[in-house]
Amino acid sequence: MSYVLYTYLAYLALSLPTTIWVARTLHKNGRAFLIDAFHGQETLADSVNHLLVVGFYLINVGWITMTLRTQQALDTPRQAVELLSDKVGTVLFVLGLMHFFNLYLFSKFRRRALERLSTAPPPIAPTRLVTASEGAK
Amino acid sequence: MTRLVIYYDDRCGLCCALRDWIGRQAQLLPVECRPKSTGENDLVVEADTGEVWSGDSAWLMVMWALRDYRSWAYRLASPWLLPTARAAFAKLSEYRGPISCRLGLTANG
Repeated sequence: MSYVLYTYLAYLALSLPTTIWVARTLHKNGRAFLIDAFHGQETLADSVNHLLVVGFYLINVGWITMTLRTQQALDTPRQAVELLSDKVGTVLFVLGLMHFFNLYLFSKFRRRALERLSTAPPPIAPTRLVTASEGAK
Repeated sequence: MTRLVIYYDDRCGLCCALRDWIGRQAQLLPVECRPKSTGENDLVVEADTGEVWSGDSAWLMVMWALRDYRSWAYRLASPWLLPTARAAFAKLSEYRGPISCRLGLTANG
């Protein structure tokens, strides 16, 4: 029984700080992307950044607490370590997926902002060129 | 490039409906729609820089000028989607008469 309790505690002690670390990294490094995406409007960028991080925390901490429980009997330290490894591995994997999803959102916001600039190039090369003297048809 | 002129077929109901629709969209650069001359069969888009796009390229340029569809213009112009987009635009142009009839769209100048 005590193995189970220690495994749970170790799981929380590893998963929660990792979540906090990833969320802080996103928050700190995503800011520049968002400011660019919102054409330098820092207040709006900070607001979206904060909301993204809140969503990130909710999903990850929700996932960690949902997957804490185990039905497996833990009789040896080996079983305890293996279970811990399984669970922490899953959490890291989900964190990774969430992290890449956030990166995708950041780059999507930024790309859309760049596309809307007046200097954005046409999507396709012109079929032909006419000189001013030729005029419109 | 600061503005675009779209030359459309004013005898086609679908084209007139699309012209009205373009007028209601948010535009990233001013777009003016003019009836095209009778000799020209394809949709033509002309920029103030003298660049001209016709046929399926013109469709992409129309999307590019509209705020909500610019992303789609870039997406459809990617090497993966361009052949499909070209084929779809060509079919749409080719069957614009029957499509107008089916949808009950009439040319209204």
